[in-house]
Amino acid sequence: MHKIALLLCGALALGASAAGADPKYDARAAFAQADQNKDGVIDHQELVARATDVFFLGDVDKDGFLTSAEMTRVVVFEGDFAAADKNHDSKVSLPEFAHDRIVIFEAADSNGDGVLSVVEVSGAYDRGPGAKQ
Amino acid sequence: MSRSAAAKLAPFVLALFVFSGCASLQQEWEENPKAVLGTVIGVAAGAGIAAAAGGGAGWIVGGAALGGLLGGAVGHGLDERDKRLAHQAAVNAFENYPSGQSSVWNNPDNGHSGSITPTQTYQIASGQYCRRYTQTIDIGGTPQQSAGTACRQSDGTWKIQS
Repeated sequence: MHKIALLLCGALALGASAAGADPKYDARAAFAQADQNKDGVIDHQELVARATDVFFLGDVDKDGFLTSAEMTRVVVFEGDFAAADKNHDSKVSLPEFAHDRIVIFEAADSNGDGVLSVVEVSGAYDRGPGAKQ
Repeated sequence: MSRSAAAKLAPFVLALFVFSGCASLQQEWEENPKAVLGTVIGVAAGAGIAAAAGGGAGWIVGGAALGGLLGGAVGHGLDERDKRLAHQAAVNAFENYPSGQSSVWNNPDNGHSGSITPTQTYQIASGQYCRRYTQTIDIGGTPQQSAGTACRQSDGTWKIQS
């Protein structure tokens, strides 16, 4: 559950860093940035778009894959890499990364409506690592 | 329908399929992961972009040619410093900014300004990254807007595709 917030916040931190601001995790601000159409929820399309941006910005050497170090920099969660590296080749492809994010999205969608509200995202973040719901 | 027309429609058809709603995204992934990723990998990027990314006509951002980025009406009226600033802003946006975040430039010598905003990131089959973008250039208080796609080359430069 914590991962989805970290995914969003990781992207926010990268964006803030690029803009010269002090990067810090802010689930609500990250949510607002991910909610591209500003309808108040993050849908599947926005999730995949966000995951792709996170992957791209995290891929420092732009070789098309995330190493463990690159992925840790993006999602700030030690268990993410092993979980995402489905074929155990010590690198995570975009499809592997996106799949991992989809699983997290569905876990975070506590009311099962197919979209994430800011309450679901910030709630997951507030509960911290290891929380299941 | 011609093959080219089908290729142009493919991204939209896939997008409709992927995000049609009823099944969960996880379920859709289990059944057809390529379709789920259609908007972020080459499947939905369009055959034209995929082909152009590997070669053919284009303009390199990071090299000397900027016509693809600032060509036509959009680039008309820009001086050399404007173009250099626009170029730097574009490279910074393509390389470092998440979609939706604008990289801006301003030339205090003549008051010209502009911004470029990545709007979508995707990966083509070769693993190469491409980014769609929108651009606004303001010359004398008249904003001119354009949009296009840039793909990252193996040498780190960005080639404008459209």
